[in-house]
Parts: sequence; structure tokens; C-alpha cells
Amino acid sequence: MSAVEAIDLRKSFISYERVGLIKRRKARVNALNGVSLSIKWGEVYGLLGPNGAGKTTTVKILSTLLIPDSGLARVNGFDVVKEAGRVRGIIGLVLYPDKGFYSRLSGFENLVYFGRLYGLSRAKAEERGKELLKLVNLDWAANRPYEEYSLGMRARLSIARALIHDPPVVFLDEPTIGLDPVSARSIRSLIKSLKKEGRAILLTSHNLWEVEEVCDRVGIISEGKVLVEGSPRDIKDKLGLRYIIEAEVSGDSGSSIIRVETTDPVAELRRIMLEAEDNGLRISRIRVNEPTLEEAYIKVVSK
Amino acid sequence: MRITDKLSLFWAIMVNEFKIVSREPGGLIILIIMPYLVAGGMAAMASFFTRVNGVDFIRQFIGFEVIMVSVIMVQTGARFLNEERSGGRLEALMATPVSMYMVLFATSMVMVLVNVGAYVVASLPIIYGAFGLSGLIRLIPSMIIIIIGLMPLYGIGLALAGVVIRIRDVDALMNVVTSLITVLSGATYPLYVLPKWINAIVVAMPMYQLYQTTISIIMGNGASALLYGLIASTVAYLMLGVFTYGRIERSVLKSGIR
Repeated sequence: MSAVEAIDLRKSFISYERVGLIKRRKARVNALNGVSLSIKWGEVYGLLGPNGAGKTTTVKILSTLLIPDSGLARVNGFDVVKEAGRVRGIIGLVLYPDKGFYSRLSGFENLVYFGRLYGLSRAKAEERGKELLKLVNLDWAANRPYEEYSLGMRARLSIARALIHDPPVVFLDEPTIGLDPVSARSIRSLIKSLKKEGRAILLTSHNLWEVEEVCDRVGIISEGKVLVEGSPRDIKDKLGLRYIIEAEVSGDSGSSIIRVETTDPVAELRRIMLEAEDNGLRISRIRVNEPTLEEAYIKVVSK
Repeated sequence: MRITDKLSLFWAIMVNEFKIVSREPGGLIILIIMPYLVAGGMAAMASFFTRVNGVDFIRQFIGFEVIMVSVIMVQTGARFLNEERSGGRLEALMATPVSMYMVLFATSMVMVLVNVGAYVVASLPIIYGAFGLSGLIRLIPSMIIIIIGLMPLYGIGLALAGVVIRIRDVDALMNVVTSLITVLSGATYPLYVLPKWINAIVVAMPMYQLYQTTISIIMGNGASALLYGLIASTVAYLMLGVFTYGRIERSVLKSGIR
């Protein structure tokens, strides 16, 4: 059984557009046009897409904060609409990493409070709060009021809150947005360790390099539809993105650089090496430039 | 969830709200001082036309106290939800397995206790001055009446909280509500100048019932008949609040929290 499963999710919103001083026009905005995805246990699934593509809407539906117009979504087998209460108990959620806490309370007090809301006893919530503050490297600021936290500290506290009840499923909606490289890196390594613990993680991000580093599988979403899905490597292969092979060969007449674009780098490398051997050339350096997920993303989204 | 777990959770929400309220003490001080300022001002104005005696002053004082706690109680749920939404906490709360009814009820209970505390602190010297020790003894049942009387107001607040989730202009809504409560409490506005149908509405409003019952007890007149009306109001308005809020929360889950 998949940890998270969404089948043909559709969602539209009504927007009121101003067409005069008082008059407004009703407009229907289709946010999701049949999103389907599944996340296995111990897997990080990255949802990529431009602004307004439907990433946050998908996360909100999966975390029971939004009811879809049609389609089905299940988390650990529980229906997100009919069994919303059970779903809420097993998910951790980061929705707005820069807000969502009580500004007059300290980071520790906030965590303990949310721990209590997730059903932990006071002692357990305090113990877990201390553990998590250490994990996200905020133990030194545990008793500082939240209003004094920097953006990076707030984002890390959001992740700590998402884990306070030790959920097996975690939804992270752009958790590293606006973070400095060091904070972003610590969050990435945290996500990797959560994956090792066997949790299922849904990550949305605009940072394609980050998604490529952390995610096992990626879905590229645009205009409310998952257009391509697979591992980063699969996606690049599916889209026929070209690898660039640069080989420096040297012989009696001096050295030169051969540059080849290919979709099959292994076969091409073999061919270059055989050809060099046949011609009595020596390969002194070889570099294979893999296509990036960014290229895949741009190719999919700009179609 | 077992009942002990629910009570523990309820207590945790109350403790959290107490912490937040205690870190903003300015509001509490105003709650205690304001009735003196307003009742004193009203008494000063009235004394141009007629001699204002101690009993009139106490009526005005209790009247204003009731208006204040009524306004706060009605606004508590709505303002709480609005602050949670603008602070990005509403979705975090809704994503937990706890019912929003419990969150709203526990946070409102904190305001009930704070309001009753402020009522006692503010009323104690004036009631002791007018009635002596017997007045202080009557303050105890009046406290219980205020706790009961705030419940139907919580029901109205719950219905308003549902509306607040949908609209953005909370302040405008709250200004209208505050004005209505002031008029419909029967404590500040002379009811005989209002049409009969408005008088009928006033009598059905929990603020009016709370005001009349509290005054009756403080004056030592007893209030059993009034109390029945207040209890009936509590049940009716709480049901109205729960029903309205439930419907609006469901519709918000369909349209999304903005």
C-alpha cells in the first residue's frame, strides 16, 4: 500500500474579478485538473511547478485543509475527506515556513502547545520539544520569543512542529524558501534523515537543484496536471534530454577536444573510446555533463 | 479519545491562552478601569437633570460592566479566528486532530474567567461601599450568573466566528456588533424610546437577560424567573452558534482559507 495516494484530483475556485467601481464578475479558476500521484514509504516525492500550478492546492487537499471537487486521496489508507481526523493525526505539515506560531510564546512553548494539540501528554510534549529543538539546531534559542526568531529559525521551527507527534507522513510546502544556504542545507540533510527513518515525504520547491538532490521521484505539475513523473534520471531520459560528452584526445599530431551531444551517454562513451583506440589516440580527460532537472522542468512547463 | 484526554487537551489550550493573555496585560487593566470612567461619566451627565443616587450609579456601573464583558465575549471567537488566520496559525490548528470547537471553547473560557475576574475586582469596592458585607456575599452568585450569561454570548460569537472565516473586514463587522450590543443590552439606551418590536428583540437578547439578572441579584431581589430565561437562552444561542459555525467551516474547507 502506498503511503500517499491521489487519484484524479480536481479542484476549482470561484474568483470575483472587478469590472467596474462596484460590479464584480464571477470567474472560475481551475486549480487542479486531475492530479494523480503516489508516494511510497521511505520515499521523498518532489512536486515541481511554476507559481499557481497547483502544488499548494495539492498539499492542502492531502492535509485535509481543502475538500476536492472530485477525485480521491488517501494517506496511509485513510480517505482525506471522510476520515480527515485520522489523517490529521498521522501527518506533519509545513505550509508557511515563516509564520504560524504565537509570537509572544517562546519556540519551546509553541512546540509543546502543538504537541498537546496532537494528543501528547505534557511531559511527552516537553521531551519531544527539547529533542526536536536540538535536531533543528534551535536549542540555544528555545526560550526566546518567536517574534525574535529570524526567517531561517522560523522555518526550522516549522519543521520541528511538523515532527512533534512523530508522524509517518510529512508534507513540506517550500520549506527552504527564503533561507540562507547554510539553513537550507541543514533542512535538506534533515529531510534525508527523515527518509532514512522510513517516512513518506512530499516536498514542493522551486529550487530544482534541491529537489534533484533530495527526491527519489519527481512530478512536474503545470496548470493543475502532473505532466511528467519519475526519478530525476527517468524524467531526463523520457524527455530525451542530451548529455554532453567532452573528451580530450591526444596523439602524435597534438591534442584536441571532441564534444558530442547524446541521449545515450554509455554507448557514446564506448564508441569514443573504441574509435580512439583504433586510431592510436590516447584519451587524457573525459567529462560527461548530465542534463539538469532545470532543463527538464523548462522543457515540460514551456510546452 | 477518552474524556480525561479531552479534559487534558482542553486544559492545555486554556493554559496556552492564559500565557498569551498574561503577556498582554494592558487590556486587563482597561477592563477594570473602564466601567468607573464610563459609569462615572454617565452619572455626571444624568446629574444635570436629576439627582443620581448610589443605586442609579450601581445600575449604570453593572450595566456597563455587562456590556463590556458581552462585547468581549461575542468578539473573542471571531477575533481569535481572525488573528489565527492572519498569523498563519489557523491552518496549522485545523491540520491538528483537535476540533476547532474545542479550541474556540477553551480560548473563550479563558476570556470568561478573565472577564469575571475583572468584574469582581472592578465591582468589589463599589458594591461594598453601597451594601456592605451583604453586597459582597451577593457578588458570589452574580459571578456565577455572569459565567452562565456569557455562554449564550459565546454562541453568538461562534456564529460570528464562522462569518469571520469567510470575510476579511472583521473590524467593520465588530463595530456593527458592538453598537448593536450596546443598544440591545437595555443598559445604556432608554428602551421606552424604541419601537415595541425592538423591545421584543431586546428582551430575547442574552445581554439584556444577563444585565437584568445580575442587577436583580446585586440588589438582593432574587432572580429565579430571570435565571430560567437565561438558561433557555444559553441552550438556544449555543445551538445556533454550533450549527452556524459548523456549516461555515465546511464551506470554508470547500473554498479554501484565504
